[in-house]
Amino acid sequence: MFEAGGVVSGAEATFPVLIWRGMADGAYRRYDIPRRASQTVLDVVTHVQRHLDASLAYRYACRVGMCGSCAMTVNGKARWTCRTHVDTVAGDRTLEIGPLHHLPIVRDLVVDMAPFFDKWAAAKGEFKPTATRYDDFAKVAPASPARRAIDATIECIGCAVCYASCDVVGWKPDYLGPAALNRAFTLVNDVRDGAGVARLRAIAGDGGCQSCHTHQSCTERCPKHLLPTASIASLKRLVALAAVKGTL
Amino acid sequence: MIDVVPPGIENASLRSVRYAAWRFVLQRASAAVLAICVVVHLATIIYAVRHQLTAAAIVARMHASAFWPAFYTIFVVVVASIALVLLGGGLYAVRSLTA
Amino acid sequence: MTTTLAPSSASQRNDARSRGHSGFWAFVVHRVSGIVLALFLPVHFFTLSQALARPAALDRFLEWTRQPVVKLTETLLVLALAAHLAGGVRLLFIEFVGWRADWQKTAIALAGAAAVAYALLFALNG
Repeated sequence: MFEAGGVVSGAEATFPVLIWRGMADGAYRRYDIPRRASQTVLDVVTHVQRHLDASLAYRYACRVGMCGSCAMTVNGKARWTCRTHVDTVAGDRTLEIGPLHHLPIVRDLVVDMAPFFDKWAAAKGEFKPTATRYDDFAKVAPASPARRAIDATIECIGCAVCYASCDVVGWKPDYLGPAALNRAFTLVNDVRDGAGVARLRAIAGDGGCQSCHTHQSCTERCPKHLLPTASIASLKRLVALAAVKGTL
Repeated sequence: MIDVVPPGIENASLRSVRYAAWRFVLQRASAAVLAICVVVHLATIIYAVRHQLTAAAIVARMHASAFWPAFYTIFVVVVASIALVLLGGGLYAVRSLTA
Repeated sequence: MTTTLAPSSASQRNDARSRGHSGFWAFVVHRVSGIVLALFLPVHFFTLSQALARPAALDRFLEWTRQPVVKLTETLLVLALAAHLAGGVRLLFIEFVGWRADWQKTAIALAGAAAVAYALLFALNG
């Protein structure tokens, strides 16, 4: 049936795939895709666009699990499609591919990432420098607790899988979301950063860290195995301490 | 499609941020108090059930020392305050779950 | 800075497929048990006030509570209270003591086990 290299001889076996077409008022459309060995969901989408329907809109870049651009909803879960094998998710079920949840659909599988990054900015997720070029380099001990805390959070590439997976984001439009709060916590631990209490205030309001209900969906789904739940729990602790000490 | 300022804290006043933070602190502090109260309450329930105390016996023992009325007064007050705060937020989420 | 925002569509709602992990179910148990307890407590306070005010009527009431269906309901309420306590202590630990990686699922399992064990202790002793 399958020869080495994944080329099928004779009649090709196909399997059904449902792909979201259109905008918010669109629908799933069925495509029959040739089954190949080691096929990824990104392979499926690319096959459709190249051979079946050139009008399909989707995003990808590196296709090797580094950039996060190919994030989509696969059988109800947010995933990187380049790192999701069809065998793992489809099995006997129909493969269902849709755009990421909780973000406006531009078209087909492409979502508008602007609200995601707007919340990143609202959580003061940018570094605020305090030194100038005339100052010496900052000396940060790698083994210090703050720097080790950053190790666990710094690798976020802003793919929005956690944001799409978070039910509180779906329930509460104001909620800043796991990625923005995780980045805020990274910067809180950065001894060079000068934002100080302004950042704590940014993540302490109604849409801030206290809206997290510790579902841990973000931690379950993060493709880089980060722990946004842990970062948010730490932020809750910092906000509580600041409120009690009167420094908020 | 509407042009809006992105959701965030830029528009919220410092007072509302402090209020939200204090609400969180008070809710968690009262939850910690309740955790202790509930452990005592559950232990009392098991004690009463194992010794098969009648209701009259339980009431008599509760009146015997000053500890119990004080304990249960604190318990009830903290429960009432936390229930009010959380029911408001809980109803919101239940509506969302069923939406 | 302004952004043009369109809402995400109804088709982009999370459903049961993304909620099949223990952290979400721990939340559901905590939320449902909390609502059950919040609804039960006024009844409980009313019954207690009656017990203190009218001891004679109390005996008739206690006869009623010996019925199996009432005993079952009491056990379920005790389970709700124990589950809410265990889940709440787990959350207070995560938020104020610290996050222990690799222990999250164990913590949920232990909280569930403690709640069920306590409810069994109540049911079998009663």
